[in-house]
Amino acid sequence: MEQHTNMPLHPARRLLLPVLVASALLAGCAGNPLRSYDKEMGDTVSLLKEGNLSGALSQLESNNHSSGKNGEGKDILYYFEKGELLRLGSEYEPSRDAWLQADGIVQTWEDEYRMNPTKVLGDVGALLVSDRVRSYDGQDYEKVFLSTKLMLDHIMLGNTDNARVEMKKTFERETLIKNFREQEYDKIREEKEKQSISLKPADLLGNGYPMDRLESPEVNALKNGYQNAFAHYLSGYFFEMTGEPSLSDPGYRNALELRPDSTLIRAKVHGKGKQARPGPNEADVLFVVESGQAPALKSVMVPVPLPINKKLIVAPLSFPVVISSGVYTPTDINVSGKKLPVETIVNVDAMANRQLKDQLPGIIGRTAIRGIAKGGAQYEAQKKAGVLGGIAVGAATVVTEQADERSWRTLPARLSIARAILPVGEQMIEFRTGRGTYRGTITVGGKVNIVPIRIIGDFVYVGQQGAKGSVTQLPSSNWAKLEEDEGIEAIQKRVDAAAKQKQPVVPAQEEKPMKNDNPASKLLPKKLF
Amino acid sequence: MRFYRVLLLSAVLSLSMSACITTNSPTTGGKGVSYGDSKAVETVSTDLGSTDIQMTAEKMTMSMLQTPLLQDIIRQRGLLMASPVANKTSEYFDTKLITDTILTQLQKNGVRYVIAGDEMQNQTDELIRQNQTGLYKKSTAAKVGNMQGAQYRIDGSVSSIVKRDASVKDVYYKINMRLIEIESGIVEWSDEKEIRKTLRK
Amino acid sequence: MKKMIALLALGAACAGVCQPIYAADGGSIASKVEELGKIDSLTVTDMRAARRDNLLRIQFTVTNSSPKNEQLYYRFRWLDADGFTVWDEEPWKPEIIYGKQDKVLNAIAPTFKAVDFKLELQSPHNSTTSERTGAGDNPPYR
Repeated sequence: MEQHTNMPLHPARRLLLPVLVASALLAGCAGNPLRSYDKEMGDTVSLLKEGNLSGALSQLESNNHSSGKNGEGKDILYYFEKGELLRLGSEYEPSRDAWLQADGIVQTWEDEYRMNPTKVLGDVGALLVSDRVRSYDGQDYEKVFLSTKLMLDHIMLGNTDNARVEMKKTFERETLIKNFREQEYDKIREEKEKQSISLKPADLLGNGYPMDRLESPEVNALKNGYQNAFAHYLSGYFFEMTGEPSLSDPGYRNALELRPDSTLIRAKVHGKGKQARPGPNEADVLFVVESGQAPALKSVMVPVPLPINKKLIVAPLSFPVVISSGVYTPTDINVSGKKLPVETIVNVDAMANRQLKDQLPGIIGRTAIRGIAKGGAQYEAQKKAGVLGGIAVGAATVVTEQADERSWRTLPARLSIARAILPVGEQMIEFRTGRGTYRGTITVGGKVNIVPIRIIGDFVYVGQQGAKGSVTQLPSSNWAKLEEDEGIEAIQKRVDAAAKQKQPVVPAQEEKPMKNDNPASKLLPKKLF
Repeated sequence: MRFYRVLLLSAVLSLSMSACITTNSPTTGGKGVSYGDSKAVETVSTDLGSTDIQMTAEKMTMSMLQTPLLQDIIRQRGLLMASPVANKTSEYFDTKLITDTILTQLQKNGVRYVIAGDEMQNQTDELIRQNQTGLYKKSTAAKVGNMQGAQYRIDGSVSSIVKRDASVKDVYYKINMRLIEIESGIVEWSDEKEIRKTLRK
Repeated sequence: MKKMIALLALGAACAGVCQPIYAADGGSIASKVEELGKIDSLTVTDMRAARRDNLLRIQFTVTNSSPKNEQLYYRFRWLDADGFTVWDEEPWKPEIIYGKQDKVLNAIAPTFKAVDFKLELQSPHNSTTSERTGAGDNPPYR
């Protein structure tokens, strides 16, 4: 090792050592952040689809068993999923507690940001190792969803005071995220100007990457990836029920701003005063219909030309893709003969795509810099130790090079609402799902009446305030055909084919002289050249 | 001579030492938290905040007190109530913060008011409890049917216009309040407070 | 002559009701104003107080001698005849005085009990000759 001290180290190699050590350490421990989250959660979600809640729960526990006894060291995703599974089983108290744990993690992030925004903004710890090693404190939309769901738990437990607190927190959180993203955006723009980056993500990722998903009308219609129309509508409803119009009006108004097409919300904003109020033996009931499951994040390998050792080398890098599974949302609910229209106001698929779209420039930058560092190391190792060393480093590169697949998977794909004034007492409800018609009863009564309905797989979970909810298997007859996203294998094939067409036969190790007009030179920091 | 020097030195020493000693404040806890002036001008964000509430309530109280009608109401021991002030902004701002302060300040000047809105629930609950549970002595229980109606009510609204570009956010708030005779619906007094808040990046 | 009579009549009508504090002698304004430190370019150039509708009513003029806009914070302290405060601490009120502007500001006592007052003034550009750090060095805003 001594002769190295006299030699100027290649910058990439200087960076490599900690990477290798880190990846070796990570591979060793069982709570490995490099584990495939998508694979793990896939099992849990399919148990949920089969109506096996306890099975899903124990699966989740066994995937996270290695952490500390009292839950220390368990990550936010574990609490996200646990809270949701418990809630579906009508266990609102433990569900609330699990989500409060997750909330604590988000609050730590918030406090950190409040105390030292520059540090959080400059969170480039994962510059060298894969994005998935970055500490995960939830996607923006997950953070907002968390406090919205906590709010619902409090309401289901009949604790309106805590629901009110949670409601305030939701919007403080929203503002904080907004400020954070605005600052981040400014910073990225600043950096871009410094490094004269002019390349768009679409140019770099080529034809194969499903860029159309990030540019769909639903995604572009969103103001951002985190604001949740339901959170605002829920506070509109809640404060209307508690008789606080000065807080309920902004709720509906903000919801309409996020969902200008919704007739249910518009009626609340523009039809004020004209609406019927519940009589003495009636109640204003809000149906919260959650259908399907949140999309998965998967990795796709895209060959990207990188400047390594003053040569341009095409290296496969991994980028995340949002893959939605199909969803069926009923168009109406029949309540004791009354037909209520169901309106979708939150599209989690679109939110996930929007989030990815907004973060893609950052992801590309980080991934490329990492690729350059590793490529440089590989080059050096091969030159020095011959083929054997080259293989060793190459293997480490492949292991660490995976996109971040972490996300809250038991969230629904769509959240819809229906609302009506109904007589107090038992009511028959009926609605169509993708797998036949659901029939059941609900009990109406009390001041705040929320009926949470979750449709996933062959099962319908209906919650009940102050009582045990129901889990019902659907008849599984006349299945509706669901429109699913193209799978990751197909995307990968397409990406590979596009790459072949664009850059005919450029193996990873082949060296190509650099040209100044190369796209990569525009994208990457000049000091790396 | 030497003696003087020693004296001087000790004097200097004692002086410097006395300058060093500070007393401990009667506080406990971490570093980050402290109490501030509740009357300070708050400029944390462009949202409606403490200063806006205080200034608005102050102006409305002053303006209302001035009107001969209100002074008549005080003399005749008339009753007021506050209707919920409409919030026409997109901010989650509890307008009760303004009306409560106005009512408190008016009461200090002798105005009497009755409760209304979401506070009514506690009132009716207590009346029902005293009369229907059978736990209370008949003679001491508050009788049902003796609550008094107000002759006047305070009403109002908070509206805003928000404008922004890349570097400036400008918010204009208008808080409007009225005193209405309930029986006739006549607006007996009205006033407004305008607030402009600007944020520059 | 006619004019003079009219003036006298006006003065008589005011007697007992108005208590104008004239700027001419300077001293009477100074006795009502408390500046937190010396405010460089802002001065109270006129101040009058009167009792109307049973309430103490005050009008004062702040003059900005500099060409730049100046931020002013002010509030009143309401006192009874014995000098006790009869109202809670008022919130500080922010006011922008444009360069070379004479700004007229009004206030009405929030309580019937007030018969006297003090006006507190603060500006971020206060200067102070005393070395002790006083409240004047820290503007009343966050």
